[in-house]
Amino acid sequence: MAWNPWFALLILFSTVIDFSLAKLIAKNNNLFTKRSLLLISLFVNLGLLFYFKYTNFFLASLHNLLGHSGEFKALDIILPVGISFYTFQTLSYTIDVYRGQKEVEDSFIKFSLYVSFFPQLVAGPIERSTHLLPQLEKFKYKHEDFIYGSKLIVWGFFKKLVIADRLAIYVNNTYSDVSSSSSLALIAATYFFSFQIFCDFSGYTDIARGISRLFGVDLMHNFKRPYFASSIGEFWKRWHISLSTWFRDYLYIPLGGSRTSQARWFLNILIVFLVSGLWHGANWTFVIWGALHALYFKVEKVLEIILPPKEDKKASRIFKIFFTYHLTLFAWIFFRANDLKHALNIIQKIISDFKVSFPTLSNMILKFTFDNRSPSHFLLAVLTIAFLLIIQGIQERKKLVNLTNRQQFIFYAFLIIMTILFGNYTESSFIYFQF
Amino acid sequence: MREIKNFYLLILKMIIFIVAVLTLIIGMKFYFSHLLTPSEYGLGVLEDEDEKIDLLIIGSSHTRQSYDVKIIEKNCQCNAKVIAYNGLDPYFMAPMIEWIKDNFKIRKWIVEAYNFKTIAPPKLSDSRIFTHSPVGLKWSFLKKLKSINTSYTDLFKLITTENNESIIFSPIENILVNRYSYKGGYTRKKTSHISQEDFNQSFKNVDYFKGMKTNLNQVNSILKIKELLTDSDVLYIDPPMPAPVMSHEITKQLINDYKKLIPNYKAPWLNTPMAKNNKNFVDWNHLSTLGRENYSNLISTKLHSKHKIQ
Repeated sequence: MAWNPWFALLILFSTVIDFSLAKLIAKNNNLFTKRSLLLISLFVNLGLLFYFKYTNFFLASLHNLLGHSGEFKALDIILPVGISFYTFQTLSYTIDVYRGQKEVEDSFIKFSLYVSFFPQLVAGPIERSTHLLPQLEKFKYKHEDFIYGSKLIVWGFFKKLVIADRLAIYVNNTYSDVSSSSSLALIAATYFFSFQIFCDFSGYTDIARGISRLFGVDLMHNFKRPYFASSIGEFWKRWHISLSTWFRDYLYIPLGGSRTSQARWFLNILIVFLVSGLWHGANWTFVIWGALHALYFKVEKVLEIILPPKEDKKASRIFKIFFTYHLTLFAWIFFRANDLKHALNIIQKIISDFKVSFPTLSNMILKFTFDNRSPSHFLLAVLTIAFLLIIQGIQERKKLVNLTNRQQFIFYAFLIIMTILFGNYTESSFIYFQF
Repeated sequence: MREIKNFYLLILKMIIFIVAVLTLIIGMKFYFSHLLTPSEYGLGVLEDEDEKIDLLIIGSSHTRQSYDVKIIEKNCQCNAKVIAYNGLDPYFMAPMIEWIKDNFKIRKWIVEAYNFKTIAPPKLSDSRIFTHSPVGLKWSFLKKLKSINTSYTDLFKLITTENNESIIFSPIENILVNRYSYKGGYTRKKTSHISQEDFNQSFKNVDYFKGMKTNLNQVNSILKIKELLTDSDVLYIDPPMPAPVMSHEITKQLINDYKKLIPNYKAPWLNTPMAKNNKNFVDWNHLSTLGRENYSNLISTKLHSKHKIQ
C-alpha cells in the first residue's frame, strides 16, 4: 500500500470510465448493449483491482502449485491506497444505473467528488450513489452538524489512539514472536486484536463520518456493536456494514441468494464470504477467514432449521453473544497472522502449551513493554476496553444523546484529555488502509 | 445571531476548559511525579537525605542486572544502593550525579562507565529517568535535551504522555516493582542464559559501532563526572560482557580511549573465568542471574580487600 501522484490518474481513469459507461447505459434501450457496457465497466474496474492487488498473489500461488523450485520473485507492483474502496463505490453506481435504481449523473465534477470524496476515500464506508450523490448537490453548513461531526471525530481518535494503537503494541510483540510467547499471552493477544481491529477500523469510520458531517454530509453507519451480535448472521449486519451490504446487493442476490436449492445456497454463501475474505487482502489467511465465516453461517442456518429459535431469554442471549464472539475471535487469528503457517503455529501453541502458572502469567503481562511498566499498560488496556463496551452500551440505549449539554461537554472534554494523555503517538496507519 | 454567538462561546469554553485541565494535570505531573517512584527502583532508593549511603552504584540496565545489593551488603557490611536506568548515558548521568552529590551523603561511588557510550549519540532511552526526577533535576534534563536539539514533539511527549500509565497505577505497579528489586538492583528475577553458539558469536554485535566517531557531548560529560567526583572515593567500572565482545578491536580501542579520559577506569572481571562462561550472560551484553551472583561476589570481594568501606 502506498501513494504516488501518478495513481491519481488511476482514480481519474476509473471515474471517467464509469461516468461515460453509465451515461451510455442510461441512453441505450437495448438490453444486450446495456449488459455489454456493464461488463466493460466490470472488466475494467475489477481488472485494475486484480492487477494491482492480486497479480503477485496468484503468480506466487501458481508458482507453489506447479512445484517450481526456488523462491518466487514478486513483481514490483505497488497497491494504490483506497483502490478496493473506490472501485466498489464506482461499480455500485454503474450497476445501479444499469438496474434503473439510480438516475444517471449529469455533472462529471459531482460524480468525481462522489468517487473521491476525501474523508472516506481510503477506507470507506463504501457509499452508494443513491445515498451520497444527492447530498453533494450543495453543501449546507450547520452548527449542529459541526458539533455532531466533532463529537464523532473525538470518539474516533480516542478509539484509534488510546485503544487500538495501544493494543497494537501488545499484539505485535506477541504475534511476532510466537516461540517465546506463552499460550496465555497468545490468547490475550487474540482478544486484544479483536478490539484493536474494531477500534482501528470503526475509529477511522467515525473520523470519516465526523469530517463529512462538518460539511453537512451524512455517511452511512459501518458498525453497530458487532461483538454484541448473538449470531454470525447478526454479526455481519453489525460489522463493516457498507461492505457486507455491498456484497449482499451486488453478489449474493444476483447469485440467487437463499431462494434456491440448499446446495446452491451454501455455494452462494461460500462464494460471498471467500470473495469478501479475498477483498481484504491477497493472502490465503484472508481466504480461510472468509471460509470460516461461511462455515459458521451455514452451520448456524442448519441449526436454526433443526432447532427453531425460541424467544430469547436474557441468559440464552448472553450465551449466544459469548459463543458468537468466540467464533469470530478464532477467525481473527487467521486475519491477523502473516501466513497460514504462522496462524497454525499460533493455534498449536495456544492448545498444546496451555498452562496457568506464575511464569506464563508473567509472560502474558510483560508483553507490552517487557519491563516493569508492563502491568500498568496491561491494566490500562483492559480498562479502556471496558470503557469502550460501557460507552457502546450507553450509545445503544441512546442515553448518550439524552445527556444534558453540560454532561456532554464534560464527557467529550474528558475524551480529548484522555486521548492527549494516553494516546500512542508512534507512527502507525490504519489497518484497513492496506486493503 | 444569538445562536452563532452561543456556538462560538461553546467552542471557546471547550478549548479553555481542556487547556486548563491539561495544564493542571501536566503541572502536577511535572512537580509531583517523583513522589510516586517505587522505593526499590531508580532514584526512588534515595529517600532520606540524612541517610548515610556507604556505596552508590550508578549506571544503565547492565548495572541493574549486574549487582545484587543483598550480596554486596552482606559481604561488605555496608549500606549499598543502585541507581540504574536503561541506556543511561554519561550525558544524562552527569546532572544526576551533580544533584545526588548536592543532596545526599555518599561515601563511595561506583560509576559504571559503559565503553560504547563514548561514541553513541546522547539519548534519553528510559523516560522514567525524567518521571522519577524531582523538579530541579527535571529542569536540568530539559536544558540538556534542548542543547542536543531534541524536537519540541519529543519534549512534549516526554512531559505530557510518557509514563502516565505508571503514574495512575503506581499503587499497584510499585508493589510489583518493589517485590523484584532490592535497593535498585534486581533480586528475584530468574533468567536463563545465552547459548554457547550465541556466546561465541557475540562479538558480531560490536560491528554495529563500526565507523562511529567519538561523541563530544558524551566525552565532555565523562570529564564533567570526573570533575564532580574529584574529591570523592570513586571507582569507574566497565560493565561485565562476554569475552568475545571484549576481544573485539572496537571494544579494545574504546576502553583505551576511556582510560585516556579516566586513568583509573577498570574492568575487574575481564580476565576472570566468568567472562568466558556463557552461563553468566543472558544476552550478548547483560548478565544472567548466575552471572549477577558471581559478579556481585567478585566486586564485593575486591571492594572489601582493596577499598574496604569503614
